[in-house]
Amino acid sequence: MTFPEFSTLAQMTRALVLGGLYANWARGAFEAPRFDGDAGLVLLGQALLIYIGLTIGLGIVVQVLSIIIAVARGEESRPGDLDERDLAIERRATVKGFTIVGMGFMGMTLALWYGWGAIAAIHVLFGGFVLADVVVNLAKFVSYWRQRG
Amino acid sequence: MKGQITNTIRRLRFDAGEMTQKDLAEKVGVSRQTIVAIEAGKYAPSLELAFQIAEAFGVPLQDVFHFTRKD
Repeated sequence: MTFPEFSTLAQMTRALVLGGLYANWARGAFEAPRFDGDAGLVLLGQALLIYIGLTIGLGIVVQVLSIIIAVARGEESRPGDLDERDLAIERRATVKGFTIVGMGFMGMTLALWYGWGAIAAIHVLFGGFVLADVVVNLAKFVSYWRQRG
Repeated sequence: MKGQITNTIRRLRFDAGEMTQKDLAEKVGVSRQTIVAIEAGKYAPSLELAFQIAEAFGVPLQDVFHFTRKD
């Protein structure tokens, strides 16, 4: 397993865990009265910032751990060793991610149109970003899996 | 026009003194997994990489990669 493959597996796991936590929290957000009104918007903003911080922080931790494990195991490639296949896989996955983000934006506009309210609409938009994170890493993992010898 | 690209890299490696996939990968500057994927027909290399592979074996490009048209 090359470093890009190992790193993709680790980041996919990170994305699935955080995405699941966000989905669970967002589900509760629709049901709890404390999420209504301006106070609800403040709470939502705080929660989203925490999620973004966790994504960046955990992403860095996962990457560092991947590098340490790769070096310890004497992996065939090193961080930064991306050949044309790795770049092609990354490009295709990124396109899928942008598509999901676009769908999230359209979903947000539809939610506002149907009178869902600001908090719900923001959840739809942000949910697109969360889903894109999962989809990008999952798409890369599937590409690597399919191209195994 | 649809088609399929096949290759004879495995045979060429064997003919080149049983060159390993890793050796070939190092010669052309890609990972061993990329060579594995190309040999298995699961990844189509760029034109540049295809030429580099042919050059590594010292044969013309058409001796390495073949295009078969599917109707």
